[in-house]
Amino acid sequence: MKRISSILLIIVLAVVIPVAAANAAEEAKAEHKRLYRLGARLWPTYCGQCHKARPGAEFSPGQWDTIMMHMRSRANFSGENARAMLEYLRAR
Amino acid sequence: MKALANYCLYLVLGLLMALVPLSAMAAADAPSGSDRSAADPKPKASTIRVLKMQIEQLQREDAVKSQLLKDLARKVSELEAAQQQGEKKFEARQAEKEKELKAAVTTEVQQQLSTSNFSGFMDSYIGQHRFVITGSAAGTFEYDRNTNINTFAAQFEPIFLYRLSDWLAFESEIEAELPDDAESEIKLETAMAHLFLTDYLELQIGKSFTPFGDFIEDLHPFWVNKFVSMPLPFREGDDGGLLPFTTLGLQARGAFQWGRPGQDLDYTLMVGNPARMTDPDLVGSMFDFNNIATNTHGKSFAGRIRVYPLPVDAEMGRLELGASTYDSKWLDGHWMVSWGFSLAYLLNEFQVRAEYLNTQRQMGALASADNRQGYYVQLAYLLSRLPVDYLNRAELLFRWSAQDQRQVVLEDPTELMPPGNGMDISPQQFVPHPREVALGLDYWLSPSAVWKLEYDIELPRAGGAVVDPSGTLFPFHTPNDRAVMTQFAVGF
Repeated sequence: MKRISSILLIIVLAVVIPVAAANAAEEAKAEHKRLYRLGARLWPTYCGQCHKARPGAEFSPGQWDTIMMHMRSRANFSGENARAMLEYLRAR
Repeated sequence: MKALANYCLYLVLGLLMALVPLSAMAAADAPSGSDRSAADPKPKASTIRVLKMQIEQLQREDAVKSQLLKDLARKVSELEAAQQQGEKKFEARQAEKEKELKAAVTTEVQQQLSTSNFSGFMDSYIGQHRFVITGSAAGTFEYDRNTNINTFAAQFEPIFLYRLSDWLAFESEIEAELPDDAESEIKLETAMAHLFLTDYLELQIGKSFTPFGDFIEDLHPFWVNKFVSMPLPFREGDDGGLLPFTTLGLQARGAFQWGRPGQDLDYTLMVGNPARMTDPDLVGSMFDFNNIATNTHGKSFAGRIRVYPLPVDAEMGRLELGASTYDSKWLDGHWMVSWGFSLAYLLNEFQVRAEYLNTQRQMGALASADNRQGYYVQLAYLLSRLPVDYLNRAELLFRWSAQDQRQVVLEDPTELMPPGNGMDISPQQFVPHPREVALGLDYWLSPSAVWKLEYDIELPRAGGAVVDPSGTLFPFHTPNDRAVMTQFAVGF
């Protein structure tokens, strides 16, 4: 009985885990898209508030990760807005 | 029975008939001791016939073999031709494959070395820790009419950024200038750690820009400030401004969206070392470059709040309304209290900014209160709608700034008078009631590279007092002045 239960558990996990992982991947992709669209709306206004908005191609994605932390602090952006603009700039 | 017997008889007779000539032929061929051939010199016809048959047989076999040889030779020729053809095809195919391989390798290499792939490789090689150098640099030429000063100048302000993780980063800014009496002048403008605790709260520890209004923290870098000069009340503290530019302390700051995207509120709270002045006992003393001190009985406190009421999607521009305070204990029981407002409105090519600042410093028994105030209004219009290429990168500027205080303390008041050597451009900026109209023209080569041209009209008002560090009054005049400045600034 114990052995049957273990086998059943393994089978259930073998089905549930990949499905959950696939769902998580889909959700992450959808979140990236949402952030990108939001970042595209915010970038001209927020990044052009003090200086001329600089295009994403000026820096590498890794550099943008660091620069956005500096700009989030300097310009006082919320975390969500900073992530959205970062997603947009990294993709450019 | 009779038939069978007859059959057997016929069979025996037939065999005898066949065997007799054969044995005779064999006897004729076999060598014998007796001189049989001599005794019988004429070959028998049967022998000749047999020989002929054998010859014919051999001829036939020879013909067959000749044919075989011919066939073999032909096949060899065919194989040789096929081999040559095969070799040619092989070489051609080889060349074609090499070409394909080369093209594939070139494409692969180019793809691998594309900007994004190379960046990806570098990112994965460097890892999650990022060190980035940004900042700005500028080359300037200045001319002042009253002092007849004309000089080139250069400034370099790198910003070092280091990201340890998604929530922890370090930052430092160096200010490097060329003074007239040294090879260089290096200052540590800022050095701080950023801890992003939540989406709405950040702690900032170290030396940072004073969080008051917009200009000090956000608008002063060379490539951001549309003018060469700073507005009068927001110059650096040791250049005659009304507030210390930087403060050592701890800040809690953040922002949140209270409505639709674009409708935000940001806040900043700070506690730090008190403001430090060069001549604190005198009314009108300038601020020191930094406020690090070993004996701080008092602290400074600052707060700022900014509201952005217009949503992005409304396409009505960006409006900012802000209020700030900076309060510092500068002497036991005595306070310096500052407060101010800021406004900014940006709509497409048009920008307007304005800030007002008021400070009051209790002097106790030393003197009556050291009250100062200042403001500026700035307008900008980008000619992006011009249908002429290159001209549509130009931006027209106007700024009016003013500052009022009872008294000014100058290290060397004689610099107010012509020739005015040693002053930062016009001496009329250092009188108690300066007024300045600045007209500007910017040309943007890129979002972070700008050539600026500025024409200042100094219109100081009379009144107030000028003293040296010992408190000795100095008589001064307030003539109008003109200055021209041009600067090429780059943000990197």
